[in-house]
Amino acid sequence: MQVRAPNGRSLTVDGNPQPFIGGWAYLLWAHGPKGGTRFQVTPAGAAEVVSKQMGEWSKYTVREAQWNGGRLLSLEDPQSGTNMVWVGPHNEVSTFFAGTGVPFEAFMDILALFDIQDKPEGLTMLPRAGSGMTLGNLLAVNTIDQVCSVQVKPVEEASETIPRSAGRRVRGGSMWRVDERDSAGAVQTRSVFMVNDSTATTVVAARPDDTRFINVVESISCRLG
Amino acid sequence: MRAFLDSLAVLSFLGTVLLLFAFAAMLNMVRELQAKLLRAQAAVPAAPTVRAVDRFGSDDGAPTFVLVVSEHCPNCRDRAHRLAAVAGPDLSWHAVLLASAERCAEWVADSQVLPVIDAALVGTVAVGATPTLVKYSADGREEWRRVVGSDDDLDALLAVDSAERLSA
Repeated sequence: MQVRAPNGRSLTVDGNPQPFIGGWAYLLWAHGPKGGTRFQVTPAGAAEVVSKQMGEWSKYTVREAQWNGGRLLSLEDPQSGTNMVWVGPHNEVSTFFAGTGVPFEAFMDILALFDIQDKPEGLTMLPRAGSGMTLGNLLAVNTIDQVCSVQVKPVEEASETIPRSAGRRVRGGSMWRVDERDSAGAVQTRSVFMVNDSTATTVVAARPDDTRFINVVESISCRLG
Repeated sequence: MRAFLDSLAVLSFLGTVLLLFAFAAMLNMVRELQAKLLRAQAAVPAAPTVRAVDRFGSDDGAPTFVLVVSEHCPNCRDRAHRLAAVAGPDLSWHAVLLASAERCAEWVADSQVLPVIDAALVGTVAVGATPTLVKYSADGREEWRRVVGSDDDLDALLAVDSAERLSA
């Protein structure tokens, strides 16, 4: 399966024995003269569905408008701040503003710094020439229902997290098993860290002893083009 | 003859190189212009704040609130209904609904809101998002514009007080 990451690179994930639960969710940062901004890019409607499922929707003051062929949503939580979402035909991009009463214009001014293209294979937001923005710290996340979550990073942004010990040789890269144990020594969280020439991937098991998790780890391959 | 052809070839080569330089210089100028334009746009968010539309001026000295809406926009319809509900004859301002589609005029039918269906004017006012509320002073000069995300925001921008809200 090949999709397009928000920074324009193609993400190819093959070999997962079971399908992913849905589209990929991305976290990425845009750095500019005024500091950094974190963006989330998810399938269209995800922010609304997720916050309704988490029971958070009712505490929001919801505002909505129309912009560039999509919906602009402002989800204001009086306790923490405001999530602004632009919902396109296929995907949505959101960011968080501290405080309340944030005007839509603040969000629109930030989005205007990027050339946003929303296509079925993914939403790209490349900085416009002269905007002074650069993209970085991409993280792509997806889930295989009840089995594991998969988190993919570009390998060049993960150099400090790669263990010094030699990992197991797999499929053009290396693999390390990471177990987090509780005080009694039982495995709390089991994950596997895989590195190849383009990605650093963490696969976290939903249940430590699930054979379906082992099957995923044995066959999955993630590449960024 | 041979020498002549050679010199011709050299000259045409030099010409090509010069052309390339000219192109590169031109490309640079275009890029600089692009960057300047972007910086200018970044400095002035969304649109210049002072614009004037003569037809939104008024003789009685009262300001005019113009709600700019688009056709396929449920929020625009809701805000238009709200504007129609709060706009009364005894208010100290005029209310206009600006759209490019005839259908939008129905949203404020039988109210004090004047529907203006004018695609060219929508283009001139050039709001980014819809619905946007634009306030014009009596001389037709734009005072401010804001994207309106909810009925409460619309009330706040119109400064409708609570008594008026209750009667609406």
